[in-house]
Amino acid sequence: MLKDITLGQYYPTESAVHRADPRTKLLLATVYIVALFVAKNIWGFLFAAAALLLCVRLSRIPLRTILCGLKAVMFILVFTALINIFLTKGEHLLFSWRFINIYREGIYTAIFMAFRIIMLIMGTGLFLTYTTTPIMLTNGLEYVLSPLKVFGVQVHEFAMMMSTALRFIPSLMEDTDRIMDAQKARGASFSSGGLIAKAKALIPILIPLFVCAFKRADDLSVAMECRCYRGGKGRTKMTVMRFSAADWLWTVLAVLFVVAIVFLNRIPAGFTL
Amino acid sequence: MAKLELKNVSYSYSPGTPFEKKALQNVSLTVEAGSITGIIGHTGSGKSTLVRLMNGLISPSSGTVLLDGVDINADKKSLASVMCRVGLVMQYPEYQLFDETVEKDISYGPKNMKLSDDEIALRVREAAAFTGIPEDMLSRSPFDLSGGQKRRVAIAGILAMRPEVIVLDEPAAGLDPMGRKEILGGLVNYRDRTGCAIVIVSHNMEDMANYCDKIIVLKESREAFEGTPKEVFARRAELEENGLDVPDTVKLADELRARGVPVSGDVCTPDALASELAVLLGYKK
Ligand SMILES: Nc1ncnc2c1ncn2[C@@H]1O[C@H](COP(=O)(O)OP(=O)(O)O)[C@@H](O)[C@H]1O
Ligand SMILES: [Mg+2]
Repeated sequence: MLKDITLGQYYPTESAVHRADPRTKLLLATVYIVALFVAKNIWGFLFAAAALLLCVRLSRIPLRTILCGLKAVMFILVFTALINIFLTKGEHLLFSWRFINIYREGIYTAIFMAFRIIMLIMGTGLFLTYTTTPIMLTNGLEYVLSPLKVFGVQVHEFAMMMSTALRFIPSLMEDTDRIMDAQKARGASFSSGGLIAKAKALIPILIPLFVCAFKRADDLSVAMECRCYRGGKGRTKMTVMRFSAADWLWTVLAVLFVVAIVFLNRIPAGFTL
Repeated sequence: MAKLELKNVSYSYSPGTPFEKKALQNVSLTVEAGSITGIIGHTGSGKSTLVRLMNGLISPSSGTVLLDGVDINADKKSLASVMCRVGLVMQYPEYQLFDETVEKDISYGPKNMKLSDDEIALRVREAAAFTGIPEDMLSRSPFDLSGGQKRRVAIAGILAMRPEVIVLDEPAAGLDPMGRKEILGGLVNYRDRTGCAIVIVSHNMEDMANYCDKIIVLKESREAFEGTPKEVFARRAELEENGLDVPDTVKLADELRARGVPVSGDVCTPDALASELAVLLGYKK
């Protein structure tokens, strides 16, 4: 049941996007985020959307799967849209009642912002979580962040913590499902009653879940020590990342993409952010 | 009419995704009141999925689950009461304990059934007696107990709900022989007293031969065959093909037969084999 939340789940298949180096995909995700904030008018947004759809096609992941991931951010989407509609001031007043004034600019801003968030989630999800395994993602992050070692930041430890955390999310979800099932079998109900009753109903789930989580963490740390884990120094990797010709191509395309967005900003359009 | 009946049930995990997994296909079985039914099968053959279907934790992709002839999934609102009538002890149930004392933890189920305090206290004592939990343990924290004791507490938590069918998913896995015997013996006592039906998933073929009235063999999400322990364990070759074992008694009987001792082909408990040998050796008529 909890596993139905797809935001941040690797989708195993073979594609050009899956094959790209994790560092490339980190770059692509970053470039895409920047481009979304650089884009100011409809042309830039349409271009960014077209590029995204093209990449989704390339990744061979059903568009539906990626759109499902948006369910989790529905609340934020609606919330920002409402804020933009009610709080943006402009020149063309559309509707006015007591202290509520709605301007045409507000509606436009709301639409643009909604699309910016949607594409942001889809873009980062596509490059980072759907097509990159958590392990490769942390390998990439470790590499990208390694210059920080100069300042004494423990990059390897940070990456290890992150990959362990990512690795444990599905396990903890499974534990949660299992414990919820076990308590349901004992007649527990998680949906009935008032707020306090609902909060109380969580205790029989949270306590066993914490017990499980600590036990897992304990087991893992012992297992790692038994295999002589001593931190990042001198540690090699099982999968070595390779920056191939395809990755250079992706990089060039990413640069061209940003340049194109900057130029599209100059085309006159009805509304600019 | 059978107490619990599964008719052509199938179940898939994550249907419609690349992770789709057909865990059960077209399985039918009946569980009679007062009987003990065993389910055996290789790891991943769908045993746990099957038992979760029995109390409505999951509903079948196709097929029906009937309790006293009523489809339990027809009315979602009645599922809570179905779970109280079909008590499920999940695999490794010791990880579901949460309350401060053993007594409070056992009474969690009855409390959810909104019983009176007196009734709850009575049932907790009764369930503790059946599972061999001594009185002084009731006031201890469940987290201070050993694995086997925790397992008993978890089983007592289900017995205290007085279910009409008790389903246990590998209740004795990882326990010492003594603990295993006590737990299973307690369950049999409980059955004799209340006439409830029991379904047990287990890898321990000796236990299955000793306690079960009927055994169902699962193979790769389908039902391979079923029968009394004698019938099932007489098909040793087929079981071994499925990665399953037969009780040591059956192996011993086979060895005896190979050496020309005429023991019958369907003994599967030490008791039955001993009786036959006693007759053959002329100590008993
Ligand atoms: N929550 C789940 N999600 C996906 N697949 C599952 C899940 N639970 C079990 N399975 C799969 O279903 C099959 C049957 O599992 P299960 O009923 O647990 O088998 P058993 O208890 O006989 O070992 C296995 O192949 C298992 O991998
Ligand atoms: Mg199982």
